[in-house]
Amino acid sequence: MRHSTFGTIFRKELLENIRNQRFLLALGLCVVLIPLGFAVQYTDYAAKDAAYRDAVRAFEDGHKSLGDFVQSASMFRPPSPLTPLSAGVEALLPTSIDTVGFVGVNGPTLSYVNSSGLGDPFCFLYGPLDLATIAAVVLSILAVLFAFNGVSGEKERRTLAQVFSNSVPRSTLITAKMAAAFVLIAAAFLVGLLLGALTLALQGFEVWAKSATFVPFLIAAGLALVFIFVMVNLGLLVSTRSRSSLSAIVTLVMAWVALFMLVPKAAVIASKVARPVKSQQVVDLEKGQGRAQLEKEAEGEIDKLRKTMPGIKDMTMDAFFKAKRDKNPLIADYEKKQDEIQGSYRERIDAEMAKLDAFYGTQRDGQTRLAKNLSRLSPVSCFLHGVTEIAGTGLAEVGRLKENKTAFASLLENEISRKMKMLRFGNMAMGGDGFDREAPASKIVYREGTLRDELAGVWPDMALLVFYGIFFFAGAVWSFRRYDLR
Amino acid sequence: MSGERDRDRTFRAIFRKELLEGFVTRRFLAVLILCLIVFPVGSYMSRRDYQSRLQNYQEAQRLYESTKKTVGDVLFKPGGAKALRAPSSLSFLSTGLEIVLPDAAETVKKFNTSYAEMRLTNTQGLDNLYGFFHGPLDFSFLVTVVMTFLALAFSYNAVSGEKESGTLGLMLSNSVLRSRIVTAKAAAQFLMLAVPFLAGVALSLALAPPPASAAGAASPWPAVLTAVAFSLLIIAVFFNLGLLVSSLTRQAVTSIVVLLLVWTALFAVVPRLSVIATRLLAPAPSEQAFGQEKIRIRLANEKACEAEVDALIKANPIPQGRDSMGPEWQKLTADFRAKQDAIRVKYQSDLAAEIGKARQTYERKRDAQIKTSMLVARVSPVSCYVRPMAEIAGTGWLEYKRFADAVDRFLGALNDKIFSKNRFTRMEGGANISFGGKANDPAPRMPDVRIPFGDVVRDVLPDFVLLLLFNALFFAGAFVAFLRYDPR
Repeated sequence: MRHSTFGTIFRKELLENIRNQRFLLALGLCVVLIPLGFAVQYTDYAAKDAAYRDAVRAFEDGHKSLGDFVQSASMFRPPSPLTPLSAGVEALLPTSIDTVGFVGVNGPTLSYVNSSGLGDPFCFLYGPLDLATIAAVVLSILAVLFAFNGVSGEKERRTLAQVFSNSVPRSTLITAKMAAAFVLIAAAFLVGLLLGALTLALQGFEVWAKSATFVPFLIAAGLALVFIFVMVNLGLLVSTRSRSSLSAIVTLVMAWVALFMLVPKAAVIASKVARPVKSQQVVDLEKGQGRAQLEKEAEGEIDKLRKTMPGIKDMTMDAFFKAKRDKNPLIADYEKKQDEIQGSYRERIDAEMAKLDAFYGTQRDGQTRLAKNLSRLSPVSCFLHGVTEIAGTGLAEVGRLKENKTAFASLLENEISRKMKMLRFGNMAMGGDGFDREAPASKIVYREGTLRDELAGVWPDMALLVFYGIFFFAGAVWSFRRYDLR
Repeated sequence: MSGERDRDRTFRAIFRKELLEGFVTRRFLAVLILCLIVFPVGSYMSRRDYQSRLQNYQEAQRLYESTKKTVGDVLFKPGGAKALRAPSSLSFLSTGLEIVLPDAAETVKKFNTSYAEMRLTNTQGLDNLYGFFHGPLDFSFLVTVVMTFLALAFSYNAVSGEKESGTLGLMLSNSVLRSRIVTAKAAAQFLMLAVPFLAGVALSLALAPPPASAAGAASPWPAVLTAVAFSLLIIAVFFNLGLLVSSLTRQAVTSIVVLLLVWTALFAVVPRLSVIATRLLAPAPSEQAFGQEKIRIRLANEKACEAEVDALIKANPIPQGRDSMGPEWQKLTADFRAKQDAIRVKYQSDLAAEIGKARQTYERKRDAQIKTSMLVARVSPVSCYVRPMAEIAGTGWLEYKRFADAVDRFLGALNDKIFSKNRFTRMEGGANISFGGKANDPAPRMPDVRIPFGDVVRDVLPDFVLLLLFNALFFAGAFVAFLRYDPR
């Protein structure tokens, strides 16, 4: 009996929404915006990918042997092909990790470089038209419009009392209303998504061809559906708490502004005020200063060795180089002691740099974590976090950048710095050899994140989104049970 | 004469009635409290954000200047020369492109060339990732979202709401001109919206006056006042739009649903679609693609140059068994160096010409795209507000161009004073690098030149005029629709 009641109300709601053209509006918007957004975002990605490939090719052409790495070396970060899902912070992420100056005995200095440029500034001024934006703005407004008068509107038209003159459980009625609104928006969204995927296929990006793209697409679609569920239930909750559909929509608009805009933005600023962090520019310069200081100390110690080591301290430069040519064992001993000093300073520099990186990294992570947690008060933020991380354009990419930077530094240090010999005598430094300059250079590959990595970071947002959906629905059911029909 | 006076009296009566209604329903009070909280808080947060960026900029500048004091430091210490861009002191008005604009330019130089290039970089991106992700909470945002919503909330039921409550019929049963009603309603309700807005802005400015720029440029007040004028215009546009839709609908709820959809379209859809339309109408290569094009040109040039130098080395072998300090050897090497210098200078000027040509083509296409984008986006009044606000705050496209031009001039000075004096000569079995300048001379610094405010005004004037036109159009529409409105 309940099943048939549910079915009847569900059908009635479906027909009503189709007749009053809300569904047509939703369908029209999804069918136009999603494929269009996908096409533009993919074109952007294709241009970035071409630039990335060009840069890698040019670098590999000019860096065939280890000797070339001494002058300059770069590790390039490939752009994420899933930008149609969410452009996220892709535009601000570095495009490469470059060495600064020569790679010497004391190890490399690396810095992040973003050469993607500004391009069309209006993209940044108005924001992207990716799936995350379409869902967060357009679909959430549509969900609100589908649900705002679900209860209060029926009360105003006096049809609610008529329905309850039959033996219809209130929970069945509200569930059927929710299900109908959800199914209609979800259907419009899925049709748009399908057309979007076909548009991508026409551009040469077959979403379903690889599990690395297909699974994130499915997860993002799933997240968008959960988000629609949340917003429909929020609409119903407010509708059951209001006496007129007008007050329901006004409240919902205010709630939407707060959830979509004020909470996330205020969270960012609050975290900056609560936990200020030095900029990357300052950190890099401080690291450069620290490194220069230690290098100076190393040179001072080597100079002290030259001035105090018996046999060496009285040598002139000519005598020293003559003794070196004659393979004097004293010079070999001096070289060994110098290597030891350089080795110990290299370790100290590494440790100091790692300490500074870890210190500022912890501070920055703390600030971001605070902002992220505060913004999770809004389901919109949870949804955006989820889709962006799944698309590989979120904040988790920063962690991966750090891992790659460390791996790149180790590679250069192991292949060049640790093997490099530099012999100093007074103001004269000679060498820079000790490693095979002609040896083929190792291929530098940026390690991208796996789906498992992405999922590990987004499960709190996914869980919270589901919680918000259930919470709002439970609130709507509870509130509707006590709703005064008069 | 008495008719004129009667009409004035009617206008005043309706105007007073609307004001009183606003006070009685506490709408005015609610908006006033909201504005008195939101604007000072938003301004305080944006200022704190600016202060932290300014502090970081000053610290970076201090560290750079302490490490790169002389020409020798620029030449021989890692990192080369740098130019840092100060954050805009008016970014509390609009963060605009501030986070994505380059905040530094650094030299990129190969040891075998006697010129350097400058690369614009954005290092602040990593400092502001999460802020970029959610967008700023600046004055421009508060007006675009909060104030425009409030404007709609004030006007959506101005006509349809009165019809529903039956008061419109009563009012029109007296001999009152419809034009007086709509004008008095619009004037009173807009006043109730504008006063709290101005009070909120005044309070935020009184609590924290606008800071002067880091470069110590002219007074910030003309920019702030222009921004307030723009804001009043955009609020009025949405207010009049609400009035228009209210005059075209029979129910207040229909009115607000339509307005909500229109707002979404104007705020979120049209500006983004304008970017897409522009890509189709005026395609331009990305900056990254242009960067790669430059690398290709440079590599081809270097390859050809070194091949010619190779041929020169082969044609001029080092004479064996001669005294390397003797005058004959010295003359031979001087001739050889002069010949090699001539080759390098020729290739360097070819390279500059080729890159200049490629840059011209790229910039022409990019500027055309930006111009088209700007024109298409003006379909939405939101775009006519957002972009000018960024320009007024010094966080827009003009600021990018200013910085890029300043970097170009700085690079000219660097090449002139430092890098052109660096001489590289390749010889059989080795190479020689010498510096013909004074390594102890102070390192050049990039002067921070601001954009004259007059230039900004000229740039944003069309948007100002368009906002006036949108206002006139929507109000005229509301006026005509109300004249034909059926109050039954």
